[in-house]
Amino acid sequence: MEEKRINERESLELITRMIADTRSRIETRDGNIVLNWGLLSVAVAAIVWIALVTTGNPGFNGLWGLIALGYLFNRKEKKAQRQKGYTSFTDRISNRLWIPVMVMAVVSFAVCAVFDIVLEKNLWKLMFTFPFIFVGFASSVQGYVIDVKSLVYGGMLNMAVGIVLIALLMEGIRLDTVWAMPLFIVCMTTLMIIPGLEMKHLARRGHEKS
Amino acid sequence: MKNLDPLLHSQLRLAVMSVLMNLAEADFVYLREKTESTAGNLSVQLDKLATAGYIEIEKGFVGRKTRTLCRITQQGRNAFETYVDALKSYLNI
Repeated sequence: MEEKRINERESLELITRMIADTRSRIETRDGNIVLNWGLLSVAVAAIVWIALVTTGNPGFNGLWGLIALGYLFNRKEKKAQRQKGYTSFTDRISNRLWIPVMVMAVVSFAVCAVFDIVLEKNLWKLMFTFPFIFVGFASSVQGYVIDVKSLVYGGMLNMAVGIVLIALLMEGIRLDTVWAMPLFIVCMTTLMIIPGLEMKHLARRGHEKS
Repeated sequence: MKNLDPLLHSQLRLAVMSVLMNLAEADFVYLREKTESTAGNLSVQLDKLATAGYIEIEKGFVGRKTRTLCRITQQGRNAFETYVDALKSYLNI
């Protein structure tokens, strides 16, 4: 293509061709990042659960920090996006949607830490509800944006579970490791693993959204 | 009848603007492939669009390689829409 003048009809044909060509490139993501985060969350939860049940030592809760390894998935995804050479509006929404979730994770952690250190009040149990409500909400919105139903419903289910957990905490009911951790594992499966598999399936079928 | 914006009424610049209308941003290599243009020519035309305020160009590094990202501005979006309206009036669509 050169820098040459064209007539009106050629202009319209060129615009139509370029837009049609670009639309076909705006596809649903392959689901790998969602699936990987899901598998990591479930694996970490299972390790923590087994460690807590077998030893009874609450110090093993520190193993939750292993979830930070998911940063590697984000780096891989960023690299993949760079390689394709463009960012669609869907990509942009999907990427930025997680920024407030990360901010809220930091804020929630800070609030719990301040209550613990300054007021000597243990609110750390509230952090357990965080992935259900905030991640559930973001997943649900992302599901609507990229048209993946299991993300929408998985997100909603997790938000509902999060609200129930807060209600239980407010009523003074203990989140016992015996049932709370398996619940977390089941919820993360519905929130990430099932949607990740659906996204992979849709990507293989060439699911497109413009 | 509306005048056609001379900056957009050129094959390569119009192709670039049409691609960027659909994307949040695109890099130089992607635009070069989509428009099937040469690097030198594309670079000149991107500069013209940027000078007119129709696109933003962001130059950065990925590792040791340079990466040029382009995105359309609101001014560019308005100009493109006006151009399409003008085209329609010329073609009686």
